[in-house]
Amino acid sequence: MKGLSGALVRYRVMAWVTGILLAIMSVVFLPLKYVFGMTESGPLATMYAIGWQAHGWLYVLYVAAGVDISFRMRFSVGRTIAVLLAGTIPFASFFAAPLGARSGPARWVADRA
Amino acid sequence: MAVSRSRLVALTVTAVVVSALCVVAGWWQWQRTQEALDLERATIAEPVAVADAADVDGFPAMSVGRSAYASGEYADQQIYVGPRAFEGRSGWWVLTPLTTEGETVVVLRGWVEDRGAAATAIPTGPVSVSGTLQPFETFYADRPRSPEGDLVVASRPEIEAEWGAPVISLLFVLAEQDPASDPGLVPVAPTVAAGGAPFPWQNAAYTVQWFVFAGFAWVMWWMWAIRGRRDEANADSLAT
Repeated sequence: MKGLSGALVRYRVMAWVTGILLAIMSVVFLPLKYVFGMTESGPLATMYAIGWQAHGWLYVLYVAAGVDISFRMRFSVGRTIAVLLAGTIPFASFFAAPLGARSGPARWVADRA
Repeated sequence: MAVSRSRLVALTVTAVVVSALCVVAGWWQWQRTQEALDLERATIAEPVAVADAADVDGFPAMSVGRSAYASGEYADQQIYVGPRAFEGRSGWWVLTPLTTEGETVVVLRGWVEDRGAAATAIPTGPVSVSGTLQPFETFYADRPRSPEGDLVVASRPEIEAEWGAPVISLLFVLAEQDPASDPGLVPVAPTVAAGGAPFPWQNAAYTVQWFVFAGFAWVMWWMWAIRGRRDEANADSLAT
């Protein structure tokens, strides 16, 4: 149980962190760049660059945590891929996080308890 | 029930396709890294108008050492900095303000042995200049001036105090002037070279990340195809 809960916490934290950053980048910074053209220079340009680079590395961690949780909870191949891809779609990981938490096979958890 | 043969084949084919796509995407990002670098290098090699490279508030790091040009008129406020040696002889740097597009650029016109020489005469009328941008000197900036009032170093605050106006934040080391001064000063070689282009970290990071994802595809293949097969044979193998 301990391994499962640790992995779950890791996955949920990564889902939230990646999700919040992606939401900020896509809702705030993409319009700033492509609609208002305000990220050419100055602090906004720095934040834009750092934000996307951070998202790139955080998504790597998210995928690692997602792969981990998928195998621990024995997700199907399709569900695993859905969980991993959720990190690339703005707001999707917010729905994937509780989904990942609910869908563990109760029988296996009961066996281990 | 063991992992079926058809499932194993499907998992393997998927892993090959997915990891190949990731490698292609990573390679594409690496190409973009190179292209961004080439573009920045080409930009740095291209001469730039002084006003576009620096202003009175500051300058981007990539402006240091760049070739630059400006047109305007010299103002009658020359400063000598020194003593500065040239080929073993003691002399002076000649700094002259050039007014261009409402801004003042400090032009290091050259070196002269004798401050009374005809070559120090300030050219009148419009001139076009090209040269190199380099930072002002900051070492020994608090050294007292010579009895004649000359500066010891090309210090921006001292020059601004002397001229009573803010100047563009990089020193313009003159290479060519049109029309040329005759007799002319000895040209001073710039002490900085253009820096490297800023490295496009974002594309480089994406390159690495795509390769990592290619690796993940094979980790997942191993979990499903190999470990999954073992799991089915031994129901207790999920122990952690």
